[in-house]
Amino acid sequence: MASPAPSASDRGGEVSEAALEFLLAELVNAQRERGEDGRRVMTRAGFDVGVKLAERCARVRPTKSRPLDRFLPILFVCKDWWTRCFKKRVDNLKTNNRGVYVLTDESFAWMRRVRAAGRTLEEEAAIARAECDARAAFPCGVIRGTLAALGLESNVSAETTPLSPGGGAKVAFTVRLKGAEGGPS
Amino acid sequence: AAWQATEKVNAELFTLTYGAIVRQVLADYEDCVPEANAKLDAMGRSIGGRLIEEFNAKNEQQRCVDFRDTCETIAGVALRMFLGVGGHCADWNADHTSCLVVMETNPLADFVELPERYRDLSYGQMLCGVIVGALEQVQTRATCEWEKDALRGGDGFAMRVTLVGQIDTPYPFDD
Repeated sequence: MASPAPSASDRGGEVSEAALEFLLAELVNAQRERGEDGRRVMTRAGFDVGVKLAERCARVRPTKSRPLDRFLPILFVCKDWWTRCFKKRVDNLKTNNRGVYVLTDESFAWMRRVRAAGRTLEEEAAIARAECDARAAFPCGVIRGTLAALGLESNVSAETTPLSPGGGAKVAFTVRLKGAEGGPS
Repeated sequence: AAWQATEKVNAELFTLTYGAIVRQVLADYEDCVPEANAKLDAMGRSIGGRLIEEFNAKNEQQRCVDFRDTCETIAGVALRMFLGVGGHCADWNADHTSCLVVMETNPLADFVELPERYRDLSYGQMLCGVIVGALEQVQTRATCEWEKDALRGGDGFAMRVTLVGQIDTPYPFDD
């Protein structure tokens, strides 16, 4: 095996947001025909990425003798994780204090270049909506994987609101912790 | 200058996401490596077709005058703008139709080690596809393949870009 090339990421390297968004769009393209199965595949791929990301960057880790406060991993995702990935914090965090958290990003980085070509404005809006929705599966998986690596089992879903055709989207991620009311048991 | 004007994200997330896509492509083609290579290439071409718009929007550069100029732009400007890595051209042939685009680092391939059964996997093939796809949009037909791939025992990362010909297209009135 050759000696490893110097690692851009280990030096805190950066790539353009566009490059990452293009990747995500291709992942969606490749799975588009497969409907629900494709969605599961993308969530699963995101989950793996989330686990690896948490292993690489989490400062707080649960141990058997010292389980984390349930709120800490959520805060970690909202602050550390978001800042590391998107250079900003989550714009808004709401909770019902019974294990359901809603993380809102007013302009989610992975949906800024969504293309929607249609014959009418309504058609374009519908296409943009479907595309943003499809793109949300992967980040839902990433968040779920990150939380899982920090010891929290959850379900994550997303509601996307395209800001205008081709102009990005507001995304509200709903995290339901295992055992929470209305969450997986 | 284009790099400063670009919205940036953590390379780690990019690298891990790329890895997840490669794994998924391998799974979709049941570990058939040639088909996975072809799929990664096709995905790259599709990206290249759109990436060129982003590139032109962020660069006020004049049209590239010839293939040499084009390759220098890929190595010196585009790689930096999208992947945050430096690069340069080397090993030009006599009539300037083929060169090596050498990358200082390769964020696609960080923390990657290929298991033996994927020996023939061209892990970063998507990037070759991106270059071919982007050049097609500027009426240039070219081929691009990894000539040095550290994942497959090479010293560093370098792609061989070769001009095949110009694409004659009528002016796209209804683009």
